[in-house]
Amino acid sequence: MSMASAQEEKKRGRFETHAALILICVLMIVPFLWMLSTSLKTLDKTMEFPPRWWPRPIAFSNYWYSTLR
Amino acid sequence: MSKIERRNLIKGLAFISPWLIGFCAFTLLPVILSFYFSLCDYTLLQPPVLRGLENYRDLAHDPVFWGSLQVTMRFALLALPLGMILALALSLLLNVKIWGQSIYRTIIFLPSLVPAVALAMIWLWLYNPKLGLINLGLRHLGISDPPGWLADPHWSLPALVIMSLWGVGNTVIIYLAGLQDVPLELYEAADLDGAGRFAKIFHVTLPSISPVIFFNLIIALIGTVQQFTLPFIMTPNGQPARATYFYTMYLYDNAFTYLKMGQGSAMAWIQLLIILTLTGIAFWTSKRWVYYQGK
Repeated sequence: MSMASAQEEKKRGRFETHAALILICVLMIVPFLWMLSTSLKTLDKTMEFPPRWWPRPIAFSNYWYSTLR
Repeated sequence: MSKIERRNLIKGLAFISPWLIGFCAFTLLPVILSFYFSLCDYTLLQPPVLRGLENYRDLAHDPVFWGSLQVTMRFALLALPLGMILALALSLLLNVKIWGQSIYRTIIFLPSLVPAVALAMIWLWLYNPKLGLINLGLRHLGISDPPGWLADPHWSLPALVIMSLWGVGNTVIIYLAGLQDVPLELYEAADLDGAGRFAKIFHVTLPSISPVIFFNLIIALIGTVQQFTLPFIMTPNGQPARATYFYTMYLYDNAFTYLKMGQGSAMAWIQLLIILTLTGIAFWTSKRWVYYQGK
């Protein structure tokens, strides 16, 4: 195997690793982000359809309610 | 034993006595009692009456018992290999020195920090057949009739398996620790012999971390057979159609819902025997595929 093709294979391997990890990481983090997003919604907005990723308005009331009460 | 030795022993025992007393009172005694109860008719309200092996005989003729055992075994057959392969593949990917490695590692481990009940709540929401994020995504991908997940007897068990894969991060961490111990000179030797990426994985990496794989296999085996919290919260009574009525859920119902503590205890001891048998088989096969360095 020549030097150049070894370099090329290394580069391709790195690209494949990134692609696989990004795909899995997106799948892994979606439920987590969804938990975060829902935690910032008021109760009526949690049932909204179609669901919204960015809560409007952003409500911190759930956090106050569960820590201070 | 000399006088000093005896005095040292007493002192030592006194020092560990908080643990020793706690262990005896809250672990050892209940374990022994549960074996006694498994031989008794015990309703929790009246004192136990010795009945011999009747509880075990009843269970052998109980279709719900066999059904729940089947559910647990089917879950284990799906979740165990999938979890092992995913964790191993992920740890190999996360061990490659690339940009953003620590970010990837953090994201993979993040779900393991979510407590069981919170996890159950998020996934109940995600799996909702009409409003859930998963089916919404599937419809966007052009699947007009996505599965009903936890509401569909054919899909509820696979749904729990998929969810269990979300918590794969713990196992990945253990694999990653193992991967750091693979001797570099073995890779250098493999390079000199002209081994490719996959040859190196199968002939160097996997044999070198085989003790770690074995450890994770045993832990996962015990964990899947004891699966309880998530189905108990997410699919009460094994809904729909007892498709997710796990062994441990029937055990719990027998002991605390139907107040048949005797039968519940018998189930616990049968479960122990099942786990012992399975881990015993794993240990027996391990002689063929687990390689300890320096031996």
